[in-house]
Amino acid sequence: MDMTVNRLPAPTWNWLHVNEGSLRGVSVPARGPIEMETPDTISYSYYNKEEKEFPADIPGAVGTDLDALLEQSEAGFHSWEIAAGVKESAPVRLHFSYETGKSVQDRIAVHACENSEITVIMDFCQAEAADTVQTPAVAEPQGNFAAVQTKICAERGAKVHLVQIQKLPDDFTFLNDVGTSCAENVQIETTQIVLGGGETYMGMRTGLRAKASSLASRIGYLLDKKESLDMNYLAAHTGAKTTSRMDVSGVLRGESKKLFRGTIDFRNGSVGAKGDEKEDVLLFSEGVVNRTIPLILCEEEDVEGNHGATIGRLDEALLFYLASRGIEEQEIYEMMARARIDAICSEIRDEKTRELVQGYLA
Amino acid sequence: MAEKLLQVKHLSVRVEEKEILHGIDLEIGRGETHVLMGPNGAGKSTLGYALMGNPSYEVTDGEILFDGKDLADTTVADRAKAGLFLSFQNPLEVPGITLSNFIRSALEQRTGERIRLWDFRKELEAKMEVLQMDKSYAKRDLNVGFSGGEKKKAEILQLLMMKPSLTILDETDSGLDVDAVRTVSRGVEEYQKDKDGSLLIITHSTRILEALHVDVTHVLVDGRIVAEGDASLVDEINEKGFEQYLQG
Amino acid sequence: MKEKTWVEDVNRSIYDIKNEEKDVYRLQAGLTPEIVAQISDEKHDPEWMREFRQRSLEIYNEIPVPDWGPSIEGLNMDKIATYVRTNTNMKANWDDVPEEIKKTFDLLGIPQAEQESLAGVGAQYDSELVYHNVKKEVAEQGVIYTDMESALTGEYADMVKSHFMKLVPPRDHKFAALHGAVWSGGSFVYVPPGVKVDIPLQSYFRLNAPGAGQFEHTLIIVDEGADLHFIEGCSAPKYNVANLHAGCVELFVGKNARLRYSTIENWSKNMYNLNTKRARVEAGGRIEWVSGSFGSHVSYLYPMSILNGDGARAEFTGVTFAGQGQNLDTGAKMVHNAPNTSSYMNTRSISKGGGISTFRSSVVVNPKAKHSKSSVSCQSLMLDRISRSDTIPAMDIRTSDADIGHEAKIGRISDEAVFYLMSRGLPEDEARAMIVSGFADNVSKELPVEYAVEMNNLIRLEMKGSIG
Repeated sequence: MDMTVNRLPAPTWNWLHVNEGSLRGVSVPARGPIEMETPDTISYSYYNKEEKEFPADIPGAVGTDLDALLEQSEAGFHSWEIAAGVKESAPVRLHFSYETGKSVQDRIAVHACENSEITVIMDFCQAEAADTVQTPAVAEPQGNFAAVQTKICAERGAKVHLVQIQKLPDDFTFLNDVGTSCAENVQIETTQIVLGGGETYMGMRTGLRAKASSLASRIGYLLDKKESLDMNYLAAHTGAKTTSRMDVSGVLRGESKKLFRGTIDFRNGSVGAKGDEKEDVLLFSEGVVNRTIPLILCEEEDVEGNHGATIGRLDEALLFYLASRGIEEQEIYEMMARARIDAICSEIRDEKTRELVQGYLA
Repeated sequence: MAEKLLQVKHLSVRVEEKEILHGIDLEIGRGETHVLMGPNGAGKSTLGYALMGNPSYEVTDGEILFDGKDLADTTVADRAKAGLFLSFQNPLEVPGITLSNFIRSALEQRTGERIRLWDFRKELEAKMEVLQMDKSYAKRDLNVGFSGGEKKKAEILQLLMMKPSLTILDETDSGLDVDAVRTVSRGVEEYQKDKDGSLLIITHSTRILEALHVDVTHVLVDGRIVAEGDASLVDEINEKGFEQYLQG
Repeated sequence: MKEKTWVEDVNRSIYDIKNEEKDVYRLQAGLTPEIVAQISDEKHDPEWMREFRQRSLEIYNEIPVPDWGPSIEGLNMDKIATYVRTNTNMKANWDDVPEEIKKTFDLLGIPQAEQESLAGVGAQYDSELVYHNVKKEVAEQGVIYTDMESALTGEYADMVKSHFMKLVPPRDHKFAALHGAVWSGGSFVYVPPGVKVDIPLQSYFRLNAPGAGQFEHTLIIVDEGADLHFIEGCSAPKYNVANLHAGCVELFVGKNARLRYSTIENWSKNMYNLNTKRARVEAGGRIEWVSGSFGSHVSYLYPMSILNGDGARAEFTGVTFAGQGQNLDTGAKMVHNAPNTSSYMNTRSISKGGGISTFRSSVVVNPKAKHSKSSVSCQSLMLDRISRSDTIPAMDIRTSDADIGHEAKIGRISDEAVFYLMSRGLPEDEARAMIVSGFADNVSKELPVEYAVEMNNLIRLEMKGSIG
């Protein structure tokens, strides 16, 4: 099927080609492979399609075409639940290793009950070549396609930390959608690092629907060659005194393309809400395309919204400072590219995941 | 080997269409300690930046010879590798790179060889002790969230690790309390002892000079050197200020 | 003491004067090739213009209405008499202008302004320019300031032909095509190389007829090294039917030339203001837009600067105040096509009484535009919780050697600031009006003093809610 994804919440001039992304001829994906590790305190279930419905009331940001595509699949969904008051520091680990020539999907529901704490770590990578050799020839090639949809329902006072690390080959199309619903005093923290993938669409919608719920979202990316990354992030503030932060930083090399849509939406009722968006993009080569659409939508008086972006070369004062220590300009750029990912990586509390990222960078 | 380590000949420097330095002559010998004093806006920091090769500072006349070699067509990094070091008045914050990793890569860049982690760490810790820096700073991102004093100490730490032959201290003592100045000047003494390095100390106070032996004092007013003398000139200016130079 | 200026006692009732429509020639509503041909007949269009209008009409019928901005459903094109003019020819002497029209402009302060602070004035009433005059000294410098119709056949006919709708082609969008088909009136300005016009030129547009459209075309060419400040003012009385303004402004800024284009727009609140403004700037040249949007029911207004020459520079300074019943979608577009170009945007939006203001912008830096710089700063102020304020900026950067900065802020008037002013004896509404005026000072600082005063009066009127 043909899909329209990542629609900008308030469209602008069509000639900018930023209002949405589109995919052609996507075939219905089958259930994907996940290797998982779940701490004892957290319960896991897999629900077949007829058993239980995937939470539809928590929208994501990639859009309804993705919902429709995944609904067509025979696959059910994975569900993790942490009971009220349980604070688990060990993460749920989900390792997605994708084989080439397949079209797969996974749907994930996370339910954090009152005052619980849960960390979910996902890493997306390509399966070892050896695995694919044994796969019997598929009747028709379905392309290298994978979609992951995560729905998080966080009840009062819950803390949820979602970490996603993506390192996929450049002939891969990957859709990654996250939808979150936050009750009172919920803290959502997300850390996403993209280190490779041919065509990636990422969407995240966080519904800050009750008082004092908060989102802290960090995104880092390193793109090269003809890779493209299309993002649609939305913090929907409906509750009073809700806060959101989005920090996006990355590097574009080669002929890579990036489009970041970041929306802070202050709805009626979001009295005292604060939203902050920061973007920092380093452009390394001439063929890159960097597009940024930072929206602030507002229908409430007593709110504070900020957005800042710096795009382009390194600051001259910084270049001079680092060069004065004997480091060549090209090396400074390499260092700073890595530093961007390091700064985000160091916020991940799980050492194993930090090592995974460091391994990718080395 | 050239007789003088640094020779500045009739140097004029322009920043954004405005000439700040007009024909500066200055020579610094090996192991010597020079002080550059002057009122605000005289062009002291401009001289420091021009020596280090900041691209925003355009040399319109004159030349800079370092160890006998003309620096005209060299980059900032070249000058650093050749042995020049500028301690910044306002060091920049660099998120994502730890102080320790930064110093190590700067050293590796200079020599082109990998440095053994064990030796490096041992030396770094020793120098940090001299500067009374908490060891945790090594693992913190360069200057990020450092106080004014901590930033200056981090500059001196880089100085001690990189062991340049000429060091320019740009207002390293400004904004520091008495204890911090003492610590910083202890670091500077350590540098001189270690390497017999030359120093150009840009300052408008004298606290940092108390423990150091000053060979030559230069007074810079409105982009010109208006007076030179030995260490006693420092005391004289301390007493009388710059007024006598401003009237001419 | 400060001398009293002519706009000091501005009063909204002035803008709302309606003149009886009499002795007017009115074309039937709706848009057909015949109507467009009739316009050509009326205006004695040269052949190329006749064709241009017909071609534009075809394009108009092909292009859909925009699907991204405020709704223009209230605008029924079939009901709009696109061409209305009074039976008056253009006058060069104010005394010859018909009494009724003169009275309106007198009340708006146009003739006094001309005497006191302007180098030349053009006044357009509905579809035609009714008055045009340029100070002798300015004319002697070789500056041409005339109405578009005369320019089309006069000495500068070739220059007009080679520039007319070249920057804003009819294909650009539906209302540019409409403009191409039915444009009428407007000004042509040519400033020869090296000429610096010290005092501003002004055009004043007045739409009097209900349910009508105004489609004036402004073409300004500032030649190499020349310098001009052009001021545009607009107003219309309020009727219960929708009015449409689809003007077009094309500005050509030559090498090392400078043009400042200032607008205080105060159309009545039944106006659909779908105006297109664009400037092309050659090497070392500079365009400065100063824009205040206060009137209209719906506005689509985004002056565009195309930086085509090395070192060209554009500045946009704007303020938009959307009150009750207003949906004002305003902003700017910057296109960097050459090295060392720079663009600066500094805007303020205010929403009150259920009004909707949207800041919309784009900065495009093409691969050729090495070492370019752009900085955008937009601030929005929400004065109550029934209004709406959206910020929709876009950046498209295609060279690594660029320095792009963007900041956006949204917030409210701080209670502390209001309290502080009140503690100095100001009543609350005055205090709030003063804070809002201060918020909009990015624009008032850039305007000639008379206009700054008028703008602050408009803000005060809006703040006190005395305007419906």
